[in-house]
Amino acid sequence: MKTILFTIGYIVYFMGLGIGTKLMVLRFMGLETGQRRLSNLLSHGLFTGLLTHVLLLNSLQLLNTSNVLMLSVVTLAFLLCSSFIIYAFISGDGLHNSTHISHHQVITISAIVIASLVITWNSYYVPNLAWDSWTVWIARAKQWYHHGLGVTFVQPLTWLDSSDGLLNLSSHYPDGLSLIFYPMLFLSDYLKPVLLGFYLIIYGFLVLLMCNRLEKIAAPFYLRMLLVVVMYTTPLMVNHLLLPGYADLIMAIFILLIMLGLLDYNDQAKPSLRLLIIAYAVMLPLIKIEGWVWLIIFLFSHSFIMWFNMKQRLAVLSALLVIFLTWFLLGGLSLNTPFGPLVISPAEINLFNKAYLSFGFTNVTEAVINGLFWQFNWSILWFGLPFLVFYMVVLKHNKAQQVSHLFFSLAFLVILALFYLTPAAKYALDYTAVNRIFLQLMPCYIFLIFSMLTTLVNRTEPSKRLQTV
Amino acid sequence: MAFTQYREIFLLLQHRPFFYWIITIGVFVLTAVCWFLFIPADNQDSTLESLNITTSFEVPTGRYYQTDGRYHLDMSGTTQMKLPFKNLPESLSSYDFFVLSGLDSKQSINLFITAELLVSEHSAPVTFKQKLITHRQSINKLNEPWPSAVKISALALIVESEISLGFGADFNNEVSWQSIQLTDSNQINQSTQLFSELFAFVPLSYSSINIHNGENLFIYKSLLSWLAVWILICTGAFLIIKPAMNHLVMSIALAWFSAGLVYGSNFVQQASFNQQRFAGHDPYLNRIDQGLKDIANRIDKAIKSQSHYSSSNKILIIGGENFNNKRLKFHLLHHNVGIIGRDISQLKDHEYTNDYAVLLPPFNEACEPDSQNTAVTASSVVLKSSQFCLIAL
Repeated sequence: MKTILFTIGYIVYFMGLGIGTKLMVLRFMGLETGQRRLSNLLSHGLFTGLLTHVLLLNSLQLLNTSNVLMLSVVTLAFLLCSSFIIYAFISGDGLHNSTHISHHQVITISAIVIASLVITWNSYYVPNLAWDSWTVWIARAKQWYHHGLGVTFVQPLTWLDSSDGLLNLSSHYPDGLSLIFYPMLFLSDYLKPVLLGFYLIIYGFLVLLMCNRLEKIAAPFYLRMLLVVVMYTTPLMVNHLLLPGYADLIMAIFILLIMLGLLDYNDQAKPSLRLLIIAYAVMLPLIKIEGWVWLIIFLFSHSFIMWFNMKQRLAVLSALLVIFLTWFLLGGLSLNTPFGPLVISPAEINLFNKAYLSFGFTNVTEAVINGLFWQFNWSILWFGLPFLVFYMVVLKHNKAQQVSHLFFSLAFLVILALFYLTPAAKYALDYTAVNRIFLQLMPCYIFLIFSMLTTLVNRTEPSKRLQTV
Repeated sequence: MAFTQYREIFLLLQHRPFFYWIITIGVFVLTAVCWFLFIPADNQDSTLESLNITTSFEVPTGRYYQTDGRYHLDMSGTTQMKLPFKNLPESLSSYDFFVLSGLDSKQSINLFITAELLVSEHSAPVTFKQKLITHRQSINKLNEPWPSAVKISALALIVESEISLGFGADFNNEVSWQSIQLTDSNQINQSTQLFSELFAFVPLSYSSINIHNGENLFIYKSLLSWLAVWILICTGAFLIIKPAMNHLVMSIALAWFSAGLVYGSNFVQQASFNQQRFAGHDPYLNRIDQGLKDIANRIDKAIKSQSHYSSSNKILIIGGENFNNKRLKFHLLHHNVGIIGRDISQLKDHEYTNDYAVLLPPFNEACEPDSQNTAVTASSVVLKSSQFCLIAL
């Protein structure tokens, strides 16, 4: 019971923070608040709340605040946001449109709740076994909890010689996820139950958002229910809910949120939606380092489709190709700067000795095929890929869809390039990384598959009607 | 008459969905039946009788007993048991199936059979090892070179606990079964074998949840290939017959549920395994972890009672990033703690003031009075037990 209350309280905190910040920012900028349906308001509130929370705590880290001051600031921020929400509500602005709840929505939410309960039934007794969770993300939150948010993390050799700084092997990882977990430690020393509830709820809201979006493009109810089933029966995604505490699923959620935001923006080009997309994009590199890669791919896909017409795109592509060929043939760029070496060559990338990557071909085809198809991980999902590619190429799509298609294709190719061309190949060969990295694209891929099915169902509908007439 | 017939066919054609489902479900059922019931053609009328070997192996006294028609193996205090079979005929290769009936265990276990095989009269013997399915009805077709071996000797069953995350020392439950048999394909029902393989428990790997522990997922490959081909046939039928799109979606849903059935069964088995394994519902990952928490508490108390105690004092856990060290570090995170080095000699390379080192086995031997290691002097030992040693640097 305590766990349930803690979890709900935690979620309400994020929602309050998110909705409040949204209202305040839009009011401050003099923008229209853009009323949406209740489920969308709450879900986006929750997800923007996560970003607000991370940014708020990031700033408090800089000020080297004590835990007590941090708690006071966070409580104050929540109270401020809540008061603003209440003010907006009373002043008749209306936070969301129609309160009518359709019976479809009730069934969808019930299905999500039942699926979450089934997962809880499986996972409730299991302690926090997720290895990365307790060695990296929670460990860091625990260090902040005991030593203050402002502590610096260092690597072993620096640690031995320094008098300040705590040892943390993942000191170069972004703080986002640990900052999200960190306040949980004030509720209980044993995080697992609250963590499970937290993961299930944010995942549930994501599934609900996907269903809402499909409903908007006139997907029949049975297809939306199938989406719920697929989201809760894809083995690897469920594993990440059963043993909560990994970053990959959270990353996957934000990638999909950007995509949904873009589609919404395409329907109605409101500035508030644009801000929302930027907020979600900012969150990517705050969760994991590979977030930078997704962010760059997203920015490229977005600008490539939105800013240029067909002719210009060809010009951009040719220019990129020329730059690539020149770079490749000249053997790349190699500079010695006062900050260290800067090398970007076909053999290696070295950014001032801070980031290093060497290139070399490894054949990982068997590992990738095994991981995506024959292991007990994805069911029959990846068999849909050729159909999706065919659908992307042959049919005409609006610009937002084009961006999402380009993003997915590029991200997929980048993952393959990573495994084939870099030392990451060893994580592909031992099967620990192929599935984990693809997991980050999974909700996005599933959503694209269901968008495709919706389009196809709706295209054949008229002919069916003609037949029956 | 002819006109009426054509008219009927024409009317039937109006019912495109009906045609679509007749064809696709027909293919689905037909291929499923073939797959599940097809028995490989065996021209020889085998008169081989199954060989019951339930009681034919050597076990330490008192470890193996029978109650209520079941045979129980007591695994207390051990993580692996090798059970060599005795008095078996030498011509075992015609028995190409190993069947364990009514297998039950409260722990996640791995089972193997091992043997020495002579592939031809003049070749050197080769070692044979095959992982067995850990399902209630475990039916295992023995792989090559077993069926073609001339002579099979030193057959043994190996029972071991799943040791990921150091569960090993926690292993004190028993494993039980109704019978163990060697038999040949004629005695085996194809569908029973397939069900046994499809619904075998493939446990979650706790140390990396991105993979499943099942090495033998060949059956899953067959299932998915079958469903993929079926969906392709459905797509073909859809393009030719042109029913409404929702019928194709329903076919995809059917394929999803077929694969989902296997996953669902595994999910339920995982749930009941978790409920048995973690029934105590405590925050510790296993008993080793609980022991490490106790050690952390003792270290915490000892350090805080020192006169020069400060929260910035470092605690160095020596011996590399293994499970025990990592968990001990986790329980000591309220201190300035870290795991350093692979061995104790690294301590000499740095200057320390009021710092501490924790030595878990085997490094705690350095704290013994007769130890050759000069890194630890008797005066520097703060706390010592059989499990660990805390020294002041």
